[in-house]
Amino acid sequence: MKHPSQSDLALYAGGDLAFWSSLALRWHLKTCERCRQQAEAFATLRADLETNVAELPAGMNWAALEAEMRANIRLGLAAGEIAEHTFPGAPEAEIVEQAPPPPARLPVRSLTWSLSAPLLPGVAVLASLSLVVALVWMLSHPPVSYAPQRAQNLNAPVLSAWGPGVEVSYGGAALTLLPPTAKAAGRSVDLGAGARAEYVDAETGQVTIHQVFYGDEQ
Amino acid sequence: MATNSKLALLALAALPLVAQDALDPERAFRVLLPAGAPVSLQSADWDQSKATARGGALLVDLHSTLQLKNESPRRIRAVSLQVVAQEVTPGGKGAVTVPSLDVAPGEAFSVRIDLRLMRPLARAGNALVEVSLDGLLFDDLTFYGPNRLNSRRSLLAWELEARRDRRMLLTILNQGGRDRLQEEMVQASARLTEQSGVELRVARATAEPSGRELAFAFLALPGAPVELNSGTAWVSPGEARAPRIQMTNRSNRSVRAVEIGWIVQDARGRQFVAGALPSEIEIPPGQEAQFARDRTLRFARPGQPPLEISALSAYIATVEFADGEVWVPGRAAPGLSGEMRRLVELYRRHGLASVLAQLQRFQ
Repeated sequence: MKHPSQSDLALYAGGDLAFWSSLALRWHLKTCERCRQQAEAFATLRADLETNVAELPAGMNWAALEAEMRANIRLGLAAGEIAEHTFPGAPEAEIVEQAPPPPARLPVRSLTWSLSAPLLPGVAVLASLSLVVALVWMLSHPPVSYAPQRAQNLNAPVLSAWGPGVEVSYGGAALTLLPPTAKAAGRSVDLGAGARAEYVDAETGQVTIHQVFYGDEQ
Repeated sequence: MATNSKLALLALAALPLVAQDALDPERAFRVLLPAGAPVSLQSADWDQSKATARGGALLVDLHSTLQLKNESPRRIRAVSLQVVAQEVTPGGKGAVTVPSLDVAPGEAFSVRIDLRLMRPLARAGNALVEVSLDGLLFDDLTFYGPNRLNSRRSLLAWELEARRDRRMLLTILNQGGRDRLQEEMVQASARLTEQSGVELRVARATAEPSGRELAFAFLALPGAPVELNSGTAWVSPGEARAPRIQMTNRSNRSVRAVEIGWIVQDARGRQFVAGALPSEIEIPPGQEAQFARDRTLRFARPGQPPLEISALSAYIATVEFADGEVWVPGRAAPGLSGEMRRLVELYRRHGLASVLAQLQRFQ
């Protein structure tokens, strides 16, 4: 079973997830006890934060808080992407502030009335088809973690033996060496030389070592 | 037709609309092997590779199995390939290394490449990936290759540790029989389980050190040519920053690189081998030197609170002398070597017979 990311769970708990993603996630939560508990934990955390704004509570679940912050950064940067497209050349630091202009509302009522009755079934089929296409698109394109990485990497390159594989990322671009179909047997990072992950194919005994580096520091 | 079936048909009809493109191998990949190299490329299958636009990013997934052939008269023990996508991640590069090989002259072997490139859609540029040879290690411990990623040292250290550990296991087998060898593998398996589960990330430290300054405890390993004298790092929950370590070259030869292994202990006393601090550092015989890195190292355990670091330990993991010789610790080294991790995985899957087969194969 494919589980939603921590970021999506955090956004869902806060009511900030996009409608279709929220629908898919809600469906998943009906059958997944673990994710439901995590979503509830995020909701509790959010409530705690709201009541303890002045002073952060001791024993804070920083991992959960980080996931929520990263998710919100992603939302902000996604808005920034749209703004960048809308206002090319705008300073990057201000992109998040520049929300895109609200889409013009369709004159639904007048459109409906202007359609002749024989066309209505065709419009309904077209609308349904669009819905299905959008759904297929959404399900086959889970959110990627592009934006939060970009947020982290504005100042310095980051080397990670974290999540899937090892990665070097900087300025919104990333090179990730993905795990082969073998078991991860060890991970380490070298302060200076890069991040490293080791995989062992338990069937054949073949070891594959992945490393990423930045600059001339290896 | 039922409504669900209609929806399924509509979904199938819509699938071709997904923006996913197969990549042109001529434009996306290049495998570079120098003329006269001891290995040749037999084939490279990039069929599973694709480019996908998602949100504001372009993702390029590259998957291939490179079939290489040993063209030399010697047995190959390890290979290291450099992976570069200069247009996507300037300054960033990767390496795919396969150690513990035993490839006879004329034999073919495979190296799997699985990578993902991500760049903003708005950024122009080609996603060309170049795979080139960085180094080969033969069974007589000679090395071939440009060594741009310092793979010589790491391949040599791996092979020396592997020989040491296989020799140790053979001694146990000869002296205590299969039961004693099995006991050793069970113990190693338990140690491997203890050490897994920590994820790591390193970045340049961009702010003043915060938290508290913690002194390293040093593990003295017999025969180490370099001695660690003193050192500190700044620690805060889930994070260690800006390590500084003073060391002395106790040998009569110049040292050109030192790798320091370090172990993190949490508040509950559990220890994690966290990684290594490699350093290209010239230390003349009998002289002192300081290792310092302005880096932040973050630890995480998925689904658990940040690691409370209560103690830091360090030991000399590898020393490379100026003449190219590499020293690795004896049996007393903490943690498991890469070869022991490999043998443990084989033992867990196939039992003692597979370990015995490996010991005989490399004898």
